[in-house]
Amino acid sequence: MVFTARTDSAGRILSGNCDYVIVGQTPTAELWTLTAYDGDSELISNPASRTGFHSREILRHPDGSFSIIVSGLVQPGNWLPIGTATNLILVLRLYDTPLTTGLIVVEQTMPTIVAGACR
Amino acid sequence: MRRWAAIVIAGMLGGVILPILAVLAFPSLAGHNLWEAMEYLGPERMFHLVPASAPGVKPIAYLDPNMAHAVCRIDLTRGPSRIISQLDAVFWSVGVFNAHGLNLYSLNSRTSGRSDLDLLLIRSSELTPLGLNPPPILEQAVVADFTVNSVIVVLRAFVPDSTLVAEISDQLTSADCDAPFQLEPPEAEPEPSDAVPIIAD
Repeated sequence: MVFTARTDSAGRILSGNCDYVIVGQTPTAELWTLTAYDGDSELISNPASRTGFHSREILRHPDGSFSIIVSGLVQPGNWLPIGTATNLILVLRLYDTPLTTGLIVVEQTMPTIVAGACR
Repeated sequence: MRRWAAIVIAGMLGGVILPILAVLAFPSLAGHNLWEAMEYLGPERMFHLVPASAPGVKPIAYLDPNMAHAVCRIDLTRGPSRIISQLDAVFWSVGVFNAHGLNLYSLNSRTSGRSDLDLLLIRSSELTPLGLNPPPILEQAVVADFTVNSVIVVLRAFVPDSTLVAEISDQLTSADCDAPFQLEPPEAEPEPSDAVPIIAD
């Protein structure tokens, strides 16, 4: 199951000139991956060779939640570099999730995308 | 008056009817999209690795860069197809799509309940008669039957980090989508005979 974000949680269009923090939990899934694309749906070239995160490698808070910092500048923790992309699309893919049965949609939470500083 | 009527009819034909016909005809004119898009990878009944997505490389739009994918095209009119693979990936899945890219069947490492994959793809019309006298293959393999003739099998495996790309890619391309099997029931053992064999000197 795939979720795509083109705006932050306040409804503003995602921009490569801004920093974002993706914070919270994903819906239940055996595995998830989060990938950043530019406005042309291309993976973003960056010196760290990182195009996303997945659930087996992410650093988590003690309560199991996580924060991913999306930024063109080096950041501590879970840093998702976006190079110099102008537009941004974030794609969350859930593998083997009970969401596909449609039974527990109401109880599920999605991470929020909080805008930070813009350049 | 007749001239005006001709103009109105021509206008209706060009402006309304033809565009509607064009839109309605589009699905059939579009042809076998996924089937044809995958032809470049290689011949049928073999798994071919889809080049990995990377910045500037997009073999198929929105393929997860954390997954390795192999594709096998199968024309089921040439007989059923048995798919066998052994994947050590943390997560793998197999999806069967029709020629237009619609998902018909899927199975993953958790739902399959076993580490290896043994899947028999067969046309429904061929499966039904086997129910009366099921061959052993129907006990061993997971059976998926289809009413379409052309299917595309996508096998994908999770690649946690780049050091595992080669190993997991090898496992994907080692998968077989033309593995041998027998649909005929095994021949019954001949009844032991009490008759004394005639030995000719």
